Amino acid sequence: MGKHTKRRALATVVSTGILLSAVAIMGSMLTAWSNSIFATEQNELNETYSNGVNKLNEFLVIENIWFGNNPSKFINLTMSNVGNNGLNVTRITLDNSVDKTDLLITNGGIIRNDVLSKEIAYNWTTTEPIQVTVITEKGALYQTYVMGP
Amino acid sequence: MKQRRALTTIVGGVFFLIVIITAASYLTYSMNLFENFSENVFAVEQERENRKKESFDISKLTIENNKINLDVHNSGDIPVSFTRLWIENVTGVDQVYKFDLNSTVTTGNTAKDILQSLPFTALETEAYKMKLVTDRGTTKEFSVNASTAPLHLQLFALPEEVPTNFKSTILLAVTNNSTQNTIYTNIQPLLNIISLGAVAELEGPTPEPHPVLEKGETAIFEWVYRVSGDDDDKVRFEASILNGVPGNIVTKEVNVKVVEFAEESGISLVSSFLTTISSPQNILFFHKENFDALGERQMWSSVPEDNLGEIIDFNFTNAVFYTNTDGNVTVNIPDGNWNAVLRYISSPMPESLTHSGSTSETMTYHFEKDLDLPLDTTTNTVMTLATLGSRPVWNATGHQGSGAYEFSGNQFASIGVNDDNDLDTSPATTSGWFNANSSGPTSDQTIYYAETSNGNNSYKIFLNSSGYLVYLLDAGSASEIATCTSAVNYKDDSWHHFVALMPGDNDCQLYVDGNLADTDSNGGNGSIILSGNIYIGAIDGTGTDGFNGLIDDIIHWDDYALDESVEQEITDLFNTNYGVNSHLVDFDLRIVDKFGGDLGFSNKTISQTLSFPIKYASDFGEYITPINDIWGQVNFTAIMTEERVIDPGERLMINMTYAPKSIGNLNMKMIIDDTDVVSGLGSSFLQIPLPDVGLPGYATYDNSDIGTIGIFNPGPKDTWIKYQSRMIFTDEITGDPYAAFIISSNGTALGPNLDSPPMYVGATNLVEFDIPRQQPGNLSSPLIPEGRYGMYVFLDGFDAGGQVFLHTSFIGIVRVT
Repeated sequence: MGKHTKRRALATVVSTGILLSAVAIMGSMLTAWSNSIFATEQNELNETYSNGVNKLNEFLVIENIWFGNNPSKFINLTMSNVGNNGLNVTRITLDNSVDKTDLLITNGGIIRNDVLSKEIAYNWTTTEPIQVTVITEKGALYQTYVMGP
Repeated sequence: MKQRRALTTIVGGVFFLIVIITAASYLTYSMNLFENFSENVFAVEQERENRKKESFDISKLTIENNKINLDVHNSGDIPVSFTRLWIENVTGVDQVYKFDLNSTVTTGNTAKDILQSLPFTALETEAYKMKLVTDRGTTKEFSVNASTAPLHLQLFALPEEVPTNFKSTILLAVTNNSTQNTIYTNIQPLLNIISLGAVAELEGPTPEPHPVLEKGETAIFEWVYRVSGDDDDKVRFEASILNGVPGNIVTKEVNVKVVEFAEESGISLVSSFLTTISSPQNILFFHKENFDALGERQMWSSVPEDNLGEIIDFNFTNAVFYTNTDGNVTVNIPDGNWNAVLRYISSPMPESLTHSGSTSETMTYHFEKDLDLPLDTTTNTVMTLATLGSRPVWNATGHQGSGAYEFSGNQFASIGVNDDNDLDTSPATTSGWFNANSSGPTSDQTIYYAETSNGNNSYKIFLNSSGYLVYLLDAGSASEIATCTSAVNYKDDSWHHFVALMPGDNDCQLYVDGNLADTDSNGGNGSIILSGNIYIGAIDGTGTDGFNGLIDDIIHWDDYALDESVEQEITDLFNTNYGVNSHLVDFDLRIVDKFGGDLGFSNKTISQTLSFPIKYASDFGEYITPINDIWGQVNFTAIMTEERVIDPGERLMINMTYAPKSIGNLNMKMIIDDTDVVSGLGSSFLQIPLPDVGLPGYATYDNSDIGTIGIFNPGPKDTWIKYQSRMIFTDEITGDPYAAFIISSNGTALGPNLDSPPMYVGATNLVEFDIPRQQPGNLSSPLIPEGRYGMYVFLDGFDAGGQVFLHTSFIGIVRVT
């Protein structure tokens, strides 16, 4: 009887330890998993938020476009940043359904309230309207249509 | 067992709590981010709203002294800051300039001359495209001195057919039909005149450039040309825009249609039963006769038969004219211009201010024409402009769109002193309009100065060094000096009206723009004895204390003080328009039944126009008793796009009713039916599109008896006619001809060896003609039947110079009954 009582006590301790360990392990795993999930979500949320806010505050105006002839036909495009943050122009396309020029811009940064002018060789005509598209690093797209003089 | 469960529950609960806290933290963080994002969205939305609220207009753009004068009006709800201006020289190649600006305009205000300091040389001869940019990115593009795309141009000539020496108004309508919201500024019209036989002489001012033309707006430019030439001669007007797109031209031709009047035809006709008819069928003269014209006056294609015209005073009567009625004729009048030509004269001042008897001593100068001796429209006094560099320069559109004189510091005009301006007894009143240059000198600038013999006395209206208007009466001693001074600086490039009252010898009252500015009363009786001259624009004949600006409408009452307190005469005078809106006339032009009643159909109406503005015209002579060649001319034109039909029994009616103004009413008088008006070349009439048949006239001939007409000889030589002279009738429908001999003149029978008695210059001989037949002289030949005929007279004769003449005149449409 006394031997039985000792074994039972030991078993209780062991089983309690096992149970606690199991609970602790499961709890730790759950906590780690939930932390990981929340941290990932938080990062994504942060990124989405900052992208959204930056994009929201980005405002570019195609301020002026003029058509040059010398030495060959070109288009001079001036953009101004009237948003709250700096922005980076990465691509400009000119398309008049006859001739399309897709230009990657490498130094297209414009600080707030500043302008950027680009002179682009382009065989413009006085009859075909040109679709001018400016794309920023954040993916914002600005378009206008112009016609040669 | 129970203890183990409790323990694990606690441990598990702790972990669960950790998870819950983590989740709650994440949720809170997310919500914060969302809140921040919302605030950002709100802020950005606010900025976008502000961009939408931002609005501005170009209110003026001119180029002077190579500088751009640009006024911008903030028409939005928030202040606007301009950061950049782009200028592209369209005339040149690759000439684009960018300028940084720093100019802010608050809501509802206008920033003037914001480009004055721009380091850019602008030329009137070159075309520019400009773009203004604000700090919010709003842009507005406008074209200067040019159109960058073809504009919609329309050219009107009103009327397109004129008798020789008559005026035609040329209207160029320029519409901004840009599809790109382009605004055009400083638009300058060009009018090229090509003679196709006729000559066009500009009468009146050349239109000023139009400052700003927004999308969809239309600018109207107006010229008035006097066209002269022979029948069917033409002049072509080609209109375009300075620096416009090549080929963007519009043309219009004006034809001369000779209306052969009595004096021109050498031998002309008046009739005791027929009024002479020799005008084209589309020109309906206004006649003084009222027989069969419903108690009003006749209107038909019959020229004035003598120089005994009638003056219609619009102050007392309407001018209503009817054509005759014919129960068998339908007149089809095609689409085109209906043009009423009125020869008229304007009153020199409102009727209420025109006095007779002892208070009639007045003089009025309106400067409607540039003359070395500008006419006093009361003809009471004589003004003489200085010569050479001292002569003021006439400005055609000076005040209210009509003439004024510009003084540049040492110009002047003088008026001889007589009873109408000598100030011999009080009261007296002097009034006028002035526009003083803001850049004028700080010395005195004289508007009106009356010279006195001793050099001490003076009567002077001037701007002092502060630009205040001063009315000074100086009769010598200190107690006899009255000075009225305004409290406002009038050197402001704007028009102002003054009335200087001298109610007593040494008392003054000064009104500016209808309001009392100052009074000074001494109650003395020291009169100002004038001698020498009265000067306008300076105090003497050398231009001392010269005025800098424009002066117009100088009026003086020598024995009368305008009454403001009871009669409101100063208010009346201030509100009188001596310019393009002097008179307002209602025109009612339509087809009515034979009793003058309204037919009630829209296709019987040609025009019902209320308050048509008529320009001041009174610098050609006196008003009270008009003399020859004093009459102004106005064209009222209705453009019909559909034909109008006068059915049998109907009449054409024109009713011109004066629309008096409640204040500042200026009367006008119209002359009708007078061969002497403008050397016999014009009277008042209605010109209509050429009808298929002539409108019923008022001439009839009874084929049961011989006919009688009058032949008037306007000179220059006495004449005789021979028995071979004939009357000819042509059936208007069938073309069948009939003719008759002229059988007597002033009761003396004509025969193979018997000519008429002399037809002396200025006299009328009554001649009789036989009943027209198919073969004149053959008594068995058929007589002329009843109907409508074109009637001619053929005269064979000789004059006192021994010259033979054979002369045929079209008399017009005659009803044979």
